[in-house]
Amino acid sequence: MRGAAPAMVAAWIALAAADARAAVPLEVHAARGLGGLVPADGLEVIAVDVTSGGDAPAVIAIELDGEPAADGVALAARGRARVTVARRVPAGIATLPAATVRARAAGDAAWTATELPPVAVAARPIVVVTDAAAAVVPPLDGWRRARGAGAMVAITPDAALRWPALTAVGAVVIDRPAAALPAALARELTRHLASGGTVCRADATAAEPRCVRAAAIAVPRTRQPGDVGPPVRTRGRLALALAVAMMIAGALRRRAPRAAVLGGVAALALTAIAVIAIPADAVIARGVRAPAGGGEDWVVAELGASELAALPRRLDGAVWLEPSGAVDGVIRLDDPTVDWPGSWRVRGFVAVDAAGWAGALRRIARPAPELP
Amino acid sequence: MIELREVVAIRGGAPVSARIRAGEVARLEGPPPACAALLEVIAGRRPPLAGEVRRDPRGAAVLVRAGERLPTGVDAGAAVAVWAALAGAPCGAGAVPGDRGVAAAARGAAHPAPLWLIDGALPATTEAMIQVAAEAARGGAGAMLWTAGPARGRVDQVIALTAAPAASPPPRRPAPRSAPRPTPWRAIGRFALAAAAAPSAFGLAALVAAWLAVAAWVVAAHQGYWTAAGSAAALAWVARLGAIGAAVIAATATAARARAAPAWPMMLRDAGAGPLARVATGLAADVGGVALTAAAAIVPTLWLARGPLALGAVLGASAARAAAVLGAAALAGAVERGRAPAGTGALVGVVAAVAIAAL
Repeated sequence: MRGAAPAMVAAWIALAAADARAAVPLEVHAARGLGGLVPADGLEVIAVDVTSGGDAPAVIAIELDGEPAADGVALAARGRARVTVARRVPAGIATLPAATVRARAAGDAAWTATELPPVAVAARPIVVVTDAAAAVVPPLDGWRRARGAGAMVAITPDAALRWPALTAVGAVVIDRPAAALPAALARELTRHLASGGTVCRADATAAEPRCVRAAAIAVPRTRQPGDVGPPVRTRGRLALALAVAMMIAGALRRRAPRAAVLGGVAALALTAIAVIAIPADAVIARGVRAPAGGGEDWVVAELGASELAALPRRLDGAVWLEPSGAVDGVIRLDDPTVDWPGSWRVRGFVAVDAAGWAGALRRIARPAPELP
Repeated sequence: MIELREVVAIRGGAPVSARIRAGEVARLEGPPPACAALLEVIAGRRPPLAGEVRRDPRGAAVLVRAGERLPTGVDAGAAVAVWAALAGAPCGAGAVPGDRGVAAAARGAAHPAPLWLIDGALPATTEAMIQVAAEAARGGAGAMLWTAGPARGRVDQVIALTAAPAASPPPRRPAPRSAPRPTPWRAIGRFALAAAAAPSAFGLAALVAAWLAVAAWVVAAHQGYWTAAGSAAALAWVARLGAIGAAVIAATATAARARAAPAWPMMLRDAGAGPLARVATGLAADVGGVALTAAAAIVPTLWLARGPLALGAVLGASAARAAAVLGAAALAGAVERGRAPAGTGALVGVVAAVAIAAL
């Protein structure tokens, strides 16, 4: 008994050391908003950077204010992962409170957290993309007031800008030709333009910026339920084929009894398992698509996923996906996945030649918008 | 083979003495009640009023009454094989479909030397089998004694009976209790397999498959009414409707079969088989005849494996629905053979199966 206590202490220390070795050290950074504000009725886009200090690959989970934001994010040994999520800005709010982003590796108990400061909410703000904010922004103030914009914020051209973050902004102002912008920024601004936003070009020689905006298109706003009709009808056709096979086997029963029995049993078995070959693509889409330039189409759709669909299903393209009618919840911008059956709202961009669910959308011959 | 010494089978009948040897075919002439009574006495189904009957202990008497027919929907060869097996003959003949099977079964029944006792006119299928058996008997495999009926070829002797005109036909009685005979499970199993592989079984399965197709189309057309749009409950509806329809079809077909051959159970009883063997044979025909139907009926339930149900639940539901279809057929056949009013068998089977399948 005398030697038991030290042994137990040694074992506890060994277990604790083993636990410490198993934990993956993470470093979490996050940023949100557009230069310190978010547009009212828009999206609060949060970019989360997670860096691993561990020597082994890990799978991490990320939470935003205690709500799951991303799960199953692969992180290489001493690698870095960037996850972009978004939340709808609640109506009638002047300031978004501080938020907490935390991450942990699978199997770890402890979270690594970072705090995001409060951020102001502005109605239809003007976003100016410039390197020389001091020279470009003040002359635009009168123009901003004339447009009824709540605030004006300047960001540099090298800022990481995602088109969903520009949802509900009053206008985006650039101070140089599109060709002079970084390619990534130009692409995001073109997407913003195609999605119905306004992009203006500030010119020192003009009294007001010159603005362009794509023609408005009517988009669906009602829910799209899933449809199990096609797969059920396909099963009906299988049953009809089975009936024909059984009739043939019955007719051949006297002439070739063994072949008839084998054929009938084989037809039964094939009918039972042929359902595996039936496409599980029980996802239907209703909406429109219009040229967005850069080899992409702007899509606005309601997606209905049935309970027979093969889920979860990741959608191709730069799309923003959320359950239809949702007013809260975290949106994973860089991993648009239909996780469960129901109606989903899709906004975003797909390749011009995209087929599948996007191929079923009605194409609108709207001219592709160009940056001013 | 058999010897009659001053036998009086019916009240008012004259004593008759005769000897039938193996390889002989004899004809019995006289009033039909007297002929029927004498055949029953020879078969050992009832004791004689007077006189003595000496039988060859190696021979098994197979009594075929007027109008008796083999079960419908099953190859005659298989039916004769199980019939002969229940009568005590070895079941080595097997169930070979078609006329060849009838011949093989009849020859199988002719071993070891059965005494065929044919009472009156028989339906075509049974008559064909009897003709083959008569040829076998003429060849030395057993003997045959028939009453006046259709021309069945040459006879070696004619036994004439006389009886009072007021003589009443003997009451039909079950076979007397005899030493328990082992139930020929192999023959019954072959009979079930023959019923399962009969052309009519394929026809029933085709009908059920067509019903499944109709159910699938109707359910798909009523998406949003019967089920929520996009819900996998549509497939569950197809499975449920499929099983219910299959049970209805199986019960109706089995009851119709039992109705078409009402004397088949009596033939089994006349063969001297025990109640277990007779029930097993009846179930073999009923359940075997709808085995393919039950298999077709559970196909939509197996499809649920692609839906929300786990594999274990799918297998459980499949087993329950197959049991519902088979049980409906067994119940319908049993009730119909129990001399229920027409259609009662089907009705009882349908109600029971629908209740089970709708679960």
